[in-house]
Amino acid sequence: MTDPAQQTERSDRELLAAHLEGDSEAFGVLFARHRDRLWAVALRTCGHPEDAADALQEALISAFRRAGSFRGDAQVTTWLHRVVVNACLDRIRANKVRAAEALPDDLEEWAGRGSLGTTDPEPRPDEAAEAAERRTAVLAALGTLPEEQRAALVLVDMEGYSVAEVAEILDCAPGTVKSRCARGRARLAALLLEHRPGERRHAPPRNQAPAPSVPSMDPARAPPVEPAP
Amino acid sequence: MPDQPSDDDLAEVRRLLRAARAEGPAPDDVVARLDETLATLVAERSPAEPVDELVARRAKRRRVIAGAGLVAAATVVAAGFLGQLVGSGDEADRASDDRPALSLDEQEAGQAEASTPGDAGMDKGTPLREAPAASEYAARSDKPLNRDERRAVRYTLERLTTGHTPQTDLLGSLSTVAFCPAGVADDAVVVPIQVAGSLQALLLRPLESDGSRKVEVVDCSVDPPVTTDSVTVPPSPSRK
Repeated sequence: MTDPAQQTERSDRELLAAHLEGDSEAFGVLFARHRDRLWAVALRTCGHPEDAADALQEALISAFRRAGSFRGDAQVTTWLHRVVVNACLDRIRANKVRAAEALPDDLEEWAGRGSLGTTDPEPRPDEAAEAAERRTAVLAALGTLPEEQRAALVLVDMEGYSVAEVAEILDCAPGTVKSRCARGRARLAALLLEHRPGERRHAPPRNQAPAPSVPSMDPARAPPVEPAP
Repeated sequence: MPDQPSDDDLAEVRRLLRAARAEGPAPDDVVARLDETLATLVAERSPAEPVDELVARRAKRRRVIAGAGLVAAATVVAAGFLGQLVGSGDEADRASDDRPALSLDEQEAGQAEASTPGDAGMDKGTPLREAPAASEYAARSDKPLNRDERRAVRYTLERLTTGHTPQTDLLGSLSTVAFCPAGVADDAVVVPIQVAGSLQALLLRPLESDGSRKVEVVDCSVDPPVTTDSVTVPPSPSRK
């Protein structure tokens, strides 16, 4: 066991090594150090606080037990993010199988938990309501994306990781991350910006729907009339 | 095909995403849950912990069951758990080492590939200090309970603690590892509980088509395990 003050001074890598050597507190210090950011990633990737909590717990168990499999060629935090994101993606896929839940019933709570932090200490009520509404819309739109696109956008656009880092986290090529982000943003633009009042972001679709047909008044095309008896 | 969004549109999307990021700390209940899980994991690593005693007891019982006769084995074959019950134990260990956990839902969905995205962050080496008993029961004990399952547990515990029943405690999923032969819980999620000091298990059977779920209370300390109670959990209101 190590002095707590000494624990907090140790690097991620040192803490992981200490955990492997049997230090019973090292992993807790390591995980707590990154917990809030891992929570943020889990929350936005899973889209629901309960699923995020489940995924984070699952990731904790997995990382704790398999710390020995950490290759050491990436940062510890990247590896932790990878474990968390994979737990989230597993959970999303399992949920998809379980039931096609369009959106959680408690979207208000979903939007609010873990997301109330803001740089404005006391926004005006109307501004706060508008911001909350906008955030809810963004999260709902995000939830419609395929999970790989969602994870890429959460890590790159929300959390600010570089494409290279995200490629490591998602275990794919940087080009794949860029492509997932591009497709995801395009879809979000269509969902979020198309119907903004007073704005028209895109040209109307080229293949416009045909106008509804007008009922014919031509008696020749009317149903045959029964002859009078 | 619709027009591609403009650069301004994409910049606006990125701004909206950035504004919608989760900035607060992890909620207290989540932190508490993680701390509890971590404490259990640490306890599992310690040879003096009670979990290991349970593991040893369970291993002993498994040997007894394996030699008990072909009737039990035939039942298990039908349930698809022969390898887990009468195998050496190592096979089951290896199977479950391939991934951290496999939920019942995933099994039902036929997603039990040896390699899954969940392993992407791990090298395929021998995990360090894997809890010795996690192998046989990983499929149903390591995975956190989902919402429906938690609701079923709450509902059942409320029923069990109503009236005269002595104190019932939920022990947490990780300590499940020492309970209940696989053949008893073949299609169930197992949740350990303590009823009046006696270790028992809730077997959460799969959801019925109407959304209800049968939960059995099983005393796994005897051979064969005995079902001491049974509760039918009504469908979740949100499913209606």
